[in-house]
Amino acid sequence: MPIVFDNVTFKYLHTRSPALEDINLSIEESTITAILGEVGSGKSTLLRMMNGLVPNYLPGHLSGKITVDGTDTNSIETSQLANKVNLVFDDPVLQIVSLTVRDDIQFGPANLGLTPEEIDARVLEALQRTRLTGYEDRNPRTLSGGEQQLLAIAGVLAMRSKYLALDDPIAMLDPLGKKQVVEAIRKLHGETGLTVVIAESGPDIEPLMDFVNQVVVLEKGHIVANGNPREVFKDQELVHQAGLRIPQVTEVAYQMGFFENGLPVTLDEGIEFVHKHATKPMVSKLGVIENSEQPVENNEKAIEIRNLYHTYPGPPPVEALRGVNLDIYKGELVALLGQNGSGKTTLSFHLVGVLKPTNDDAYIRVAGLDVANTSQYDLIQKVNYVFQNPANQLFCDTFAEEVSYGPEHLSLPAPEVEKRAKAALAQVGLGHLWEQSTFDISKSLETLLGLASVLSMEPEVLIVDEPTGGLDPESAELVMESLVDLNSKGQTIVIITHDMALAAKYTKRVIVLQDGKILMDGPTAEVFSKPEELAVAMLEPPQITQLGQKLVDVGLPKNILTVEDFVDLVRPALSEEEV
Amino acid sequence: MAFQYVPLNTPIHRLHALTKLSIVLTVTLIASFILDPLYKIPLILLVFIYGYLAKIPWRSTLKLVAFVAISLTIANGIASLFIVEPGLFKVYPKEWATTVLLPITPESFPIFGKTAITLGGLIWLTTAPLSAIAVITLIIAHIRATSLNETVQALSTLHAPFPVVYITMVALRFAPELTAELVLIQRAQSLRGWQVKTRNPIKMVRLYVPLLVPVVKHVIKSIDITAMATQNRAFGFGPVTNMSRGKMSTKDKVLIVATWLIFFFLLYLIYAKNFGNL
Repeated sequence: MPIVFDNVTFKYLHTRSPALEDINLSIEESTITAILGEVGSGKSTLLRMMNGLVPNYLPGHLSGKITVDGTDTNSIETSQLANKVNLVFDDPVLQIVSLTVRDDIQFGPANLGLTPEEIDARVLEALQRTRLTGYEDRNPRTLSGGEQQLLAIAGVLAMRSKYLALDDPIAMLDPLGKKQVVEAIRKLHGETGLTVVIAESGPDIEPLMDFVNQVVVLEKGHIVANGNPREVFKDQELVHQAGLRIPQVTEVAYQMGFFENGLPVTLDEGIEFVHKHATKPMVSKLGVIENSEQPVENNEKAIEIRNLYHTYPGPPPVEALRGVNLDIYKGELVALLGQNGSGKTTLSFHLVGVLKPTNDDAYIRVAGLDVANTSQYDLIQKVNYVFQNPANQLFCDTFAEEVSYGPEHLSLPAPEVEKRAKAALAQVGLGHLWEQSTFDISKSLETLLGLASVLSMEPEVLIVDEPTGGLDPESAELVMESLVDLNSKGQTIVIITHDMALAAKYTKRVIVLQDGKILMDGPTAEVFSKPEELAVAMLEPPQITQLGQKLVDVGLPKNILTVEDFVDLVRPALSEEEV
Repeated sequence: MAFQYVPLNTPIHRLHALTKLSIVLTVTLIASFILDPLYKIPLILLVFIYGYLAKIPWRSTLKLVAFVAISLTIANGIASLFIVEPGLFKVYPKEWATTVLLPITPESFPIFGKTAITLGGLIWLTTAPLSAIAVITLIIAHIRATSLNETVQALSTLHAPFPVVYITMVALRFAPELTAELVLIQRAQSLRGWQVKTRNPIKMVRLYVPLLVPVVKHVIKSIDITAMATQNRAFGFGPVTNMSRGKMSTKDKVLIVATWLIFFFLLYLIYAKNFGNL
């Protein structure tokens, strides 16, 4: 008997509208199902119902019935269901409860009261399946993000449950981590026939499409589509209405205007699709995409770094930056790319004076100030930093107070504080929320408010860490449009990101860091046209760029950055009947 | 980092969690019952040997204990000025203990009465800091040498209530994470101009709001997710399997018995013979 949702409606306590409404869903054994939808569409609630966390731990009003192998999840405790269904959360750090890898994997089976021999056997198997063998005595804190998420998966695998639910499992990981986790899930499913349910907000949909059998689309707590991804994505209107980010190869089919037969959802299908429809001789038809948008290069440097080293003391000491030299010009919008630990954040912290170089001959100049000899008070008026998790800095009761906090601490007169605060809120499109409470606001509002609270200090140089992390496509677009607008007014912006499609779409220059050194630096199109070099930093260009690169033999250039550019290039090669 | 388990193969790591827990409990109690610094110093030496065997990080440990000891000395400084009555001393010669080194206020002084720096007052002033040195070092050694799972299993063996086991587990697991988060939040706020410029404790509390609110939000979220993650892994399902690498050895049993015998013997001496009193 599979997992069955029978006419389920659920409303959390103290909320007005149901988180889920009229849900009828069956998840068959040995399948992989993707639950897609915007942030707040009800995906996490749906997953948490499978093991009874909703409503047992997170109470509310439930009607209908959820059964797992015939057991009503509302009738028993979550811990009693732990050998049937297990859930992996998005943040690996919060679900690892022990201080060594072995102890953490043991935790679940030990709670089940199994014999030590049985527990040891399960730990061994879980380590092997997640390729963590050899890490047994490591402290989970010393693992990479991807390895930590693999450990979280190993911890639930050792429970040997039939169903594995993963809530945005790769959202918080760097590209290498995403790859590790996706490959582990695919392998696990292949080897054990484990039933997997994955909730995904959108940015990471492409790697999942290679192995997902079923797609369920949630919109405002309702299932609006359920079926094979190729069938579900055919309904273009539904996809846009639900705010889904679909694979770029699927977007190509949308924009080319034909997707009735064989809608592509994977890279390989995209290649096949282009070959099928663009039947005219391509080489003669297709041109090489021009780098029409060159990075800004003028004489005025916004950031100048020379010979920057930084070593964290440890033990053991970690060389985070190893001789960085970098110029960023006034008015540039630059993406800083690289794996976790490549030195992106360490480098950025030097620009705002949070960290100091560990070598004597380093030189950092930002917005005309010598960082080493400038007080933080003076520095933060010229350069500032928006942290990845906006909740890290928000504490006031209203939007107005939050945005005014920075300028107030610059000892500006009250009218100037208000003027700046209002301008900053208006800049991110939140001018109308001036007096609104900050209590229980959405993640996208938090991000925009976090951005506005720094913008109100009117820095000349702005560093933004993962501006779209955890946001759905619509909210991400809103945040990025605000940044682009600011940049168009002359602000220098450095974005730290793992999202290659975002870098491709919005930035004209990217800097790739690897092991504390700059590996690549140049126009985005040029850098992304070198997949082999990117691979050294464990990065991949966006799917659309990869598609062009796979079709280079038929005349497509290697530096296509957006779906629009791709379609413009391919359209002339379409066969007469397609046109 | 001081408060963190490190899997090593030291004699302390090899002890059973219950043995280590017994040592922590008895030494902590003894350290709080004994007041005389002459008896606390050998206790501290014993704890340092324990810490040495557990391979604790001395630099961060000493920094921490020094900070706490100095803070306690300052905090208790004013109270020590009131140690002027001979009746407070049962072991030390009363005249010697009440020898005034520096008079502060006379007997007739309103409300306070007589206050002074006395020899007895100085001795009393050392009691809390010395206890703190012993207890903090011992706890650091214990945490370094006892995995979270061992602790949970030991508490379960002792039939500790579920909330106690859970709170212990979460506290031990997330102390380092919380410290890191606090540093991050402090950085974020200092870039928005936050700084503490006052020594007024009331104003100071208000100034710390930009740190405290985000930290509290983070703690609540963390506890929520962790609670769900642990239930998801059958925490609270029933009896927990003890996965200690070694079962309780004869050495452990002897140590536990010896530890408690010594404790009760000292307790008898403390109450019946004024052992370790001032």
